[in-house]
Amino acid sequence: MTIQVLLCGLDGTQTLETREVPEDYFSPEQPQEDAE
Amino acid sequence: MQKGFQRPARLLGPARPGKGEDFLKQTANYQLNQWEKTDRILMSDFNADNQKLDAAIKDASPYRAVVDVTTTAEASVVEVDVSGIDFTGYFKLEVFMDAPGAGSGMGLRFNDETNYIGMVTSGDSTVTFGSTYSVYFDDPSYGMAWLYMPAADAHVASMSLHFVQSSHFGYGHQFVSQTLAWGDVTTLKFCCAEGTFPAGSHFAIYGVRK
Repeated sequence: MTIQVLLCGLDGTQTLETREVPEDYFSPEQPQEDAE
Repeated sequence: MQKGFQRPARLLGPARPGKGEDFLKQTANYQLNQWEKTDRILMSDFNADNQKLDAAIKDASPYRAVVDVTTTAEASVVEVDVSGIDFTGYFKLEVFMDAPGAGSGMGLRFNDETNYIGMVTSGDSTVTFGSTYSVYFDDPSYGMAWLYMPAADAHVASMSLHFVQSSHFGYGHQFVSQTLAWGDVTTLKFCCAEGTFPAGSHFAIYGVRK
């Protein structure tokens, strides 16, 4: 999918960039496991 | 000589005669110029004083903004170049994400790292789980996050608390990067998991300087 990424420099510059990322790019989840 | 003032032994400004002296009087702590009626007024003395004050005020508090970005455009990811920052100069760092009207979920990643181990302790048991974010606030919520002392060879690690308004529950997590060390951090990626951050969103990291 296509997303908009705002590239920011510490000097205050900001540039909008279009980027192609996988469908699950934003998913927070990974497989769960229990520990002792 | 007036109390609180001293005459410097070394030359800090242009020499000029003044009431029988070669130099302006100066304050004891920051050597700010103190004029008397017979002294000449020079722009360079005022500029030198302002530079000293600017430096002194900046150094007065160890708590300072390390990253402070307010966005000017709508985006799903706000990526901040931090390659010029030496994070190892700080005892700790605090993360702030303020994005009213953003889509669901706000998260922070470092570089392209998406492999973080999360830990939640309840009673005498600890549950671990994987996460693709170092800090993540569910929707709709706000939270607080701290980054552990960033030693150069230490893995990026965080502790966060967030409150989900719809369920009235608070959550606390610790996340540790599996592979990324602080010395290799070059970018911060603030991500909106579903939707976008509107223009005017504010992202900041404040640190306590060593």
